[in-house]
Amino acid sequence: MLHLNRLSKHFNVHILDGKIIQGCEGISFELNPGEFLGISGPSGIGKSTILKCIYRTYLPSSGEIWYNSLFNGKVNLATLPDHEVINLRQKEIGYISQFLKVIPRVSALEIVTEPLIFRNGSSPAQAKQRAAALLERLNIPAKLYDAYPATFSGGEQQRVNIARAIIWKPRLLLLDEPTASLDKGSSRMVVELLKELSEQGTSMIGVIHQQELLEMVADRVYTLTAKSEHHGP
Amino acid sequence: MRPILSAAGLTKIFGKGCARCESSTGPQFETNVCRHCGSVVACSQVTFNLYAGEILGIVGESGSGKSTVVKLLHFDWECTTGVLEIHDPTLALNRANFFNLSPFQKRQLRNAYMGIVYQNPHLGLRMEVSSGGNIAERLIMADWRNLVQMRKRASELLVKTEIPLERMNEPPRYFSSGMQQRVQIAKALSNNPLILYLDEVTTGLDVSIQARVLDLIRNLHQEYRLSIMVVSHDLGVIRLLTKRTLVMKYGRIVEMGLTDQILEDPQHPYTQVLVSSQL
Repeated sequence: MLHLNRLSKHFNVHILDGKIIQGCEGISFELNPGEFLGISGPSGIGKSTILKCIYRTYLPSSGEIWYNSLFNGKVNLATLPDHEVINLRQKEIGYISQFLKVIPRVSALEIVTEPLIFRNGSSPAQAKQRAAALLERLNIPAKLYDAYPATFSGGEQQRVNIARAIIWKPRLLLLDEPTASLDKGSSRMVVELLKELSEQGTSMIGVIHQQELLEMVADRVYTLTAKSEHHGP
Repeated sequence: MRPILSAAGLTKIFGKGCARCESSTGPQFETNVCRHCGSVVACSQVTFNLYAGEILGIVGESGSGKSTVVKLLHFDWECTTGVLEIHDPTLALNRANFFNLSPFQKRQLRNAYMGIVYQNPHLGLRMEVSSGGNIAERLIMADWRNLVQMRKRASELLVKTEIPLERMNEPPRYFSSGMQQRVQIAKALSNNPLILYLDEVTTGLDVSIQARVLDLIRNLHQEYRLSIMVVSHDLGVIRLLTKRTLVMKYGRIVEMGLTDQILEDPQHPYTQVLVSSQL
């Protein structure tokens, strides 16, 4: 469903006299439907860069990202017009970052409810019910549902972030260290939820630093090293 | 996503203009004043689409031409050259270039399909007329005639924009600037516009009032699925409201992209300066 062909990204920093910073170089891999592909490698090697290029937060410098879209057929995400990328983000592709980036002054429950209402067309009552059930599974106390996540701990914010990203069951989900700020118990719960999502057909690419968690959830691991990249079991 | 508005080659020159105005101004010359004739090229060759239901941002420093673009699209100013198309099946008018409409047709189009909120409430409101009266005035221009219905509509909008109904008969001059902005929003929404232009609506408001106005815009967008253009020099506002952004400098679009891409991977040297200057 996704095929990266010699994807490269470098950053041309004009404000530092045109300094070139290499993000990733010549990345090629395929992702099959329903598969979880883990990406591993040392910090700074370009794991998050790959995810951000697929999501188009970064503009790829060269290479292709072929995505077999449900609505638009086969499209190259590297060059797809912006409004079509927005459409895909709305309907098919989700992204979880390490940090919760949401509108301030929106309650935790509303943050998780929103994607169901606006992407999946659920009724507000139904969406609230499902959001509350998911937050409960992620051990967010009910008394926090109507509070603003800006006041939550890092771990609680991240669990709200995860709930928001998985509740609408995107077709392709990109995970950028979703468990980085979570304790062991919460991380295992997240892994369990990701496995369920995978069984329901979501394909995923994830950067997860904890080797143990990565092994639990990934079907395949793509390892990046300074000189070469290779597939692992 | 289908475009609801297409602008092509939008150019506005203040002054007599000359053949070299556009070729001698712009970011590469770091000026929008023509050195040959002294005319000001407020915007040049601005081309973009606004898609149905989206919020599109225009960002840039003062004098970059972002408000000019909105004022041309709202027919406040005459365009020097350019093509404007509005695509909507409900639109009675069907023209290849809406800039060629007669002044009467432009007014009709504006009254029926567009709304605008200015940075300065004095431009959008009649300060001596009651808040309800301001809204009624807009409704009359959109061919409403029934007073009871107009009053009902004004009440609905004032409630939505969080203006206490007991102040409906008060003129906006007695309101705080945040309230004036909210009355302006209510007035702009009164004719159920297809397209809403927001020109620096939160500039000059204190932070807590700014937050309330932004929340209101988000909620109204979700409720009415409006197509909105937001002009702001504040990247925080752009980040909060928009999914796509145009970056302007010296009257030109220097970069156009997804808002998160503009903020995290800006391509143009000016956009990089702009993003790195954010507090």
